[in-house]
Amino acid sequence: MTTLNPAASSIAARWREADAPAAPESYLQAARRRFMKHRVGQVAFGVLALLVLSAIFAPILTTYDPIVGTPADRLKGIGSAGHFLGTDEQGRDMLTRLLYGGRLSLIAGIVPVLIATVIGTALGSFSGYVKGWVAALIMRAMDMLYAFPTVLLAIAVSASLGPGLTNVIIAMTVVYIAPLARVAESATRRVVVAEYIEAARLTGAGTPKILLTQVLANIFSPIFVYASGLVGLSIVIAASLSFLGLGVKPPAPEWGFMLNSLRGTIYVNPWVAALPGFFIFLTSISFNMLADAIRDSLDVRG
Amino acid sequence: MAMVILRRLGMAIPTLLGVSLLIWLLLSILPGDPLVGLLPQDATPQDRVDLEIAMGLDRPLPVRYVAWMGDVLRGDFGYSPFRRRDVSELIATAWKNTAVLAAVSAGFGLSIGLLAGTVAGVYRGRWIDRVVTSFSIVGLSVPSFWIAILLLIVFSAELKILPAGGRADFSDGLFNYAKYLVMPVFAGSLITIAITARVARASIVETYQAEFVELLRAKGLREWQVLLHVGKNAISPVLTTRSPLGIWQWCRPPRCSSP
Repeated sequence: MTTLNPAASSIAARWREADAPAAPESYLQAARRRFMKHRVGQVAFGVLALLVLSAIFAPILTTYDPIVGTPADRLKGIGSAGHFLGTDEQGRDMLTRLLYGGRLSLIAGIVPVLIATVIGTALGSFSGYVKGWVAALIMRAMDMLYAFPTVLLAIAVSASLGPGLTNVIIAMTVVYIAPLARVAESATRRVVVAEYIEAARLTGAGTPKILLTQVLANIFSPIFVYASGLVGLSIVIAASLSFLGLGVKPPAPEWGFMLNSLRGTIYVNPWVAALPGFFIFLTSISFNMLADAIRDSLDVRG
Repeated sequence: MAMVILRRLGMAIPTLLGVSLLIWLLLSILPGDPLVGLLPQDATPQDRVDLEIAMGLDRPLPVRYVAWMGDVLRGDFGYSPFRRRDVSELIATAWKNTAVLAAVSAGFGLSIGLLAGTVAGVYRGRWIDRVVTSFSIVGLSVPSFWIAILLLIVFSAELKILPAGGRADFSDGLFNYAKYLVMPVFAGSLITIAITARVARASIVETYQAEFVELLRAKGLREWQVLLHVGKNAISPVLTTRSPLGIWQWCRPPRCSSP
């Protein structure tokens, strides 16, 4: 770039200085600063980190077998010698089952939201930007899917696919695509009227490039906030599916399924029977609190 | 208002048709054999074809859907070979209990949620607001089947004051009838309470910021009179944007996660 007028460029430089006294913090820096002050969000994050780590390192943390128990030791109470959280109806160590159970429960709760976010964002941003009959068709199909009660749809899909982790993930992904596509579409509609989209179009950028470089960056926050809010619900729904016998195949440990199989022992060993539910609740509420903190930090009104 | 309601109901028809088509397609297309369990162990392929023809499963999918829909519209829901009874009969025996449970849960959840949300909105920022807000985030996160088990443990296994299952008839007296409803209604309406309280609180807080509130105060109205006006203006979003039927709400992801 050749400077035609040195005076003008120095004026421009001074303007820039006036506009930006110190280095202005970027959107993400501001979000991080707000999150650093959000104590509830940090506690929730800490709890989740503990849950995830303990699920990953379950084999190191415990020496018991999660599948094979000792029938002689069945239905021990909380605080028994050798079994800190008691044993279940087949004499398996509860703490061990709960740690290993976190693996399947967390995967079944989080993965569907992740996949649905990718698919929903693609469908929604495409429909919101391109418009036309294909987009209308996609969104009407989404409306129809959205009209379904979430749990009912998840039950219907996973019942027809049969039990198993993969099928639960597929069923729940189907359920979440519609709401996420709707959020992505409405966010995109707000973005496409902006002048920078017009500017990008004037520079000759094609639709895929504009979608990827301009639209996606600007609809990311509302989608991320919505998706993070879904994870808490997703954990509960995944657990309900296995509670109903539609989830993972026994004897694999999973919190919802454990809650169901211990249902018969509530008159004998009540508080051990309630433990898996507590872990579902702890995970779900931590995700909900983290989602609230993320929403506050990213400053999304919604 | 009547027109709005009529139009809303009119819009529900294509949605319902779509929903019926989707459920029907799910059950027909997804893997799973409807004839398993109906055919004897030693069935020949010819038996299978015969049974398919007898049940009409050999016809193309669109024909089967239209035939099924026609029957449904005439009130014939079909016959369940597994239960050996008409489907309409199976639904009839279950629907009354379901309806009572759903209606009581929805009414209870909605009224408690509105009350809690309003109190929290009026006293926003105070301790009671914090209690309601924390309770509603708990209500949103707690699995209702776990709450059900906790209730069973406390009230049926330990205290032995509520029945663990079953039902009473109206003829047994209202108290006995209600005894069987307490735990399911509480477990089922928890999430309705939480969502309604959250939305009601947000709506009340937002309405308090409107200019007419300033005017009402300037006119010298007392705070409870202001609340009446605010409540009237705040309630419609609570009732319209969240179709406030207990079961329905439980089934939907919240549209947004606003406080």
